[in-house]
Amino acid sequence: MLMKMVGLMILTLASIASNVAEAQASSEALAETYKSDFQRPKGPVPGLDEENPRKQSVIKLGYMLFFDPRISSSGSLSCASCHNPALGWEDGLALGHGHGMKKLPRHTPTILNLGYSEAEAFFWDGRAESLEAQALGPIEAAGEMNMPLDQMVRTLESIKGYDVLFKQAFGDGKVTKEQVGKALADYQRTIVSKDAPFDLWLKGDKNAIGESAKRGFVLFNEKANCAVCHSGWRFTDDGFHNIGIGDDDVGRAKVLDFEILRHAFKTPTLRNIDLRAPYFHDGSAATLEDVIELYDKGGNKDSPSLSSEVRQLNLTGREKKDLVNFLKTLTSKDNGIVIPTLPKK
Amino acid sequence: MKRFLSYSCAFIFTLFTSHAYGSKSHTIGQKGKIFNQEGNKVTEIKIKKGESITFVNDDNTPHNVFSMTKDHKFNLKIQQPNSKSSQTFDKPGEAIVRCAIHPKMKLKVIVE
Ligand code: HEC
Ligand code: HEC
Ligand SMILES: [Cu+2]
Repeated sequence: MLMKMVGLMILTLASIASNVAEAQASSEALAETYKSDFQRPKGPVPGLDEENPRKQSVIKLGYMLFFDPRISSSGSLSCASCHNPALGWEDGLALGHGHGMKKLPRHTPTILNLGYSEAEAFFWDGRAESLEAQALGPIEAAGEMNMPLDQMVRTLESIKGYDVLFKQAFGDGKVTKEQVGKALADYQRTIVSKDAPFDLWLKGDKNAIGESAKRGFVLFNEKANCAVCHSGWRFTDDGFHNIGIGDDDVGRAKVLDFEILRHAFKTPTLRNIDLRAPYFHDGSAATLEDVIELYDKGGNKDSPSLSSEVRQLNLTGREKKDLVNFLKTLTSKDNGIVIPTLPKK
Repeated sequence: MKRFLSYSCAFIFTLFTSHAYGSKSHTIGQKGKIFNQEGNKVTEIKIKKGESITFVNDDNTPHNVFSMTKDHKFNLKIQQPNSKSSQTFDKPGEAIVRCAIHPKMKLKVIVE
């Protein structure tokens, strides 16, 4: 009798163990089928691939300009004040502060990996067609750096150290706003995230990410339906969707007046997402857990323009954890960005 | 005989469809958020005045094909997966066609 019971117990234990192993194996197999959707492209960043000996000089100039607060009217705000490399190229605030510490209407997005966007639509609402066009916006905007562009040009001309940088980059020593836009755009194209644990896993390192994250990856592609919008290696379709956050900002519809674009915003990349809280265009989600809660509900607010890809998910507690653990594997250890010594007067 | 018949049918068919003022319909797919013809990405297509393009949503998510180019404005509205919609191009010139949801989907239509 005793022997029989022990035997039964051993059998049950063995079958549980083999079930667990089987479940793990099948989730690995599922994961395999999605891996190829997230491979990084090979070769240089688009826009930085042309044979141009001046390119390095243009990038160097852009690097100085990006960190230089003197191109703001108060002399105290640089691009990096809000797009801070120490905070995933954001500012860590729900809504950042512009000129005179005035609150901005939208959350500061990252500038990571933007060189790969083919959508010709920058900002949350896609109103700028290129990084070149985009760069001059915040300098001029009254709420941001508040600097009239001709005044910016005069300021840069008055800084002797910039003479040689503009000359090396563009040939003549003349400073134009177009050159400033070009240099800032090319510098930003160089800001690319490196391999994260997720990428090492794609490349075959089985232990680069944990089991929970692997399950999260499958959920991301299946039950949670995230990958339909957060697609490709940057985890964005560069598209515009209303995910039901429910504030008053009409978003993309202000640029392109279609019903489906009311309250639609650009899908952000999920690279280094862990470093970039708080989240969403209004900074309304403090943590990744809060983000998952919104999707699990199918958005805070239904409306005719709510994306049909956002719906109640009925995720279990464990599934929510798995998704968060997966998102955390997208963070790379990018080498420390060196803050430049700026050109002198 | 059967073979001959089908060849001649094909011949007559091409005769009708290759007319100068086109009535031909071109097909563009949208799989993987990419405008494509038979699976190959297309960024530009040349058609004749009066011809139409059928946009097939062979993707797993909705698309919304439109153009805001002067003289070529149209909006096919939301297209669910597995649906198709056609647009005729009556005026010569160039139209930039995009998806309103995914602006990286961009197609230049050259109407001759
Ligand atoms: C005061 C804070 C602030 C400063 C300074 C600032 N930005 Fe921004 N930046 C923002 C905010 C907020 C947005 C989003 C605005 C919107 O979408 O309406 C943004 C958006 C962007 C975007 C678009 C990102 C995307 O995904 O489309 C880029 C690129 C960018 N800024 C680059 C720059 C550059 C270059 C500078 C310096 C010339 C700069 N920013 C200065 C706050 C700032
Ligand atoms: C219909 C397309 C769509 C789907 C589906 C979708 N997202 Fe998003 N995601 C977006 C858009 C658009 C935003 C920006 C919304 C805003 O701020 O208004 C966003 C924002 C986010 C953010 C915040 C990013 C930031 O920088 O602030 C995270 C994290 C995120 N999504 C993760 C997910 C996860 C996880 C899922 C699946 C459960 C998912 N998304 C499903 C389109 C989508
Ligand atoms: Cu689309």
